[in-house]
Amino acid sequence: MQFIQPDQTAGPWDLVVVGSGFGALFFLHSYLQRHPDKKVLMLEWGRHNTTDWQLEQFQNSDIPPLTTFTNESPKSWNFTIGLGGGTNCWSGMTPRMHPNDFRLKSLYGRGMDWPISYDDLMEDYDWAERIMLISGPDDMGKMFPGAGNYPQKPHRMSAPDRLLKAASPDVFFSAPCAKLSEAVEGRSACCSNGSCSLCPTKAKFYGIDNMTFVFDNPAVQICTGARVRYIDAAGDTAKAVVFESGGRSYTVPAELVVLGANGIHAPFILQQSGITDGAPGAYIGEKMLALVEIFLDGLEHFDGGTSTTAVDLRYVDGPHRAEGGANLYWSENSFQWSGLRLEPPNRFREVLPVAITVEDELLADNAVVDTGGDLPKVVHAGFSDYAMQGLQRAIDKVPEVFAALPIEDVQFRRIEPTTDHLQGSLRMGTDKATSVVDPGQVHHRVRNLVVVGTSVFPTTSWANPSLTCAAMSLRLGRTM
Amino acid sequence: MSRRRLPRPSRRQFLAGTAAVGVAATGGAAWMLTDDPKDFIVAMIRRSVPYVEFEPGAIEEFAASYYDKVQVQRRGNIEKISKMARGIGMPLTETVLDGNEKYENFRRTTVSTFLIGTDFFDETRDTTKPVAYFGINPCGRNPFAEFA
Repeated sequence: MQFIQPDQTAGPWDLVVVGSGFGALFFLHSYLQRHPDKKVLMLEWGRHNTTDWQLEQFQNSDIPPLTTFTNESPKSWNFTIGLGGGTNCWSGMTPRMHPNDFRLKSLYGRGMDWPISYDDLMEDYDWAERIMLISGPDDMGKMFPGAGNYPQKPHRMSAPDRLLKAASPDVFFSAPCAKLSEAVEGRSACCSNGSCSLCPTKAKFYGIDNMTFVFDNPAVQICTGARVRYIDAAGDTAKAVVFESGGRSYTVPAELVVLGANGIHAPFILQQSGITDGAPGAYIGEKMLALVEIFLDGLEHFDGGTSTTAVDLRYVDGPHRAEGGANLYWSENSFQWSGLRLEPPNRFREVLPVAITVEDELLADNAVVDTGGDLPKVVHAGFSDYAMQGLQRAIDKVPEVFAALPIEDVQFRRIEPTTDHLQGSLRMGTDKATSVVDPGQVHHRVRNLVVVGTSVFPTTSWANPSLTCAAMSLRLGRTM
Repeated sequence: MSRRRLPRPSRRQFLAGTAAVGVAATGGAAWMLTDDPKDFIVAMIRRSVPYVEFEPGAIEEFAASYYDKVQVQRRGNIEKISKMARGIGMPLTETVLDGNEKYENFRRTTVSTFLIGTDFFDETRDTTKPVAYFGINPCGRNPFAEFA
């Protein structure tokens, strides 16, 4: 990695990339294959916290996210400020989105349609899965066209998973994930620890360890500790990026600006820049993550080969999405979620934790707000009725979905404070009035400003967004 | 496969049913809670698995290292519960917290973390001896995992 000091950033640069997470890394990977001679400056607010440092310190970053914004919301938000961004704290789960996720409005009258389709991303889904060495089952194409060509074999399912697979082979699958089932050079296999944000074996894909071909590219210079404050735009053109470091302000001229900060700070940068077309910051949200436990009668769990072993996808799409969010069920093989079963005695493993992700509807009143201070404010009303209805249906359906198991009891445990999936605050679309970037992720008016990352997602989907974000960024880089 | 349908006892019912067992297993010892919150963790573990005999000092050693590692915010919560337990006693504290998701999650994950740091789940261990504590492993915390 070629790190430079703030006073070495004067340029000129062909590209200035703000942030270093999924969006920035995957974009640069494909972009630099077509444009190897471009000079790139990567500006990262956080430090380069190595994975060893993260493990030793038991945290992903020395900058707690909650110190970087004010939260006027009943829910929490999480992200990593540091080199590699969300590739550090993510859990490594990599389902594709369903083809109908891109047509939510036209099919079910909710949210908005994406300006791109599943077919547009198929090639890049495959590419992203190869880069991250995704482990997954070869029959995933039953749900997602073209899927199933994973570079790593699936992790071993638990005993309850295997019963569920036998009962519902077309909707129940090994969970695709960026945690290795077989070791490769520099990455061990998953140890099924359940502490995936701080993976002890480095089986999980980390940008800083596994995309060194981007960080080490001679075209890329990296400046850490550089908090971008605004983009200096004249008329319809971005001229420079202004950042702070060590109490000083620096101005970096740029031909092209790639904004890849997280879903709270990216819109705040546009707001502070006076680039407010399409209402940046509005519609911020994320899907819901909840936990139920299925208490089993005489059947033991936790013998799977990774922390999240399987998924049930039967309700990720369907007419129910007109009324409530789609959902997915995760079979959790880790007792970090809620512990072993302690009562009655000696039935420690007779419990199946099931995580449920439910899509939420992104609403205009939920927003990142610039109050004139140093930090953005997030104003959010909490999960919507759409998500709550989806959750209720998902819980009601548990006995049906898991009917192959000897169920003794089902207990709802909790809704997690956040899924760490910030979305929607710079959404993409064809209408300048209701979206910030166009279908090519280029700002509708400032045409040398590109936005990467999950902030451009027009809807939350039920799926973890990282793989889709990576695929979209690869597509963008190879088509620009 | 068995399809027995048993009503799942609440934690409160379960504790009532096992109270005598707990006293018997520990020789009738009363757990004295000091103002050290780690004592609360020790008492919570003992009362969660009263039928298991651990080596002397095993739970205390775990509690010390575990408390050391928990986040500051969680430490504050442990201190609050510990203070309550000193005031009203462990049984009543557990009754008050019965059904409290945050406490139940804390109790089960803490007890689970302790148990997997011992040889309790080792099928080859000598069951005539007390369960030994080895430490909190940074890796491989699921002793039941099987790999493809």
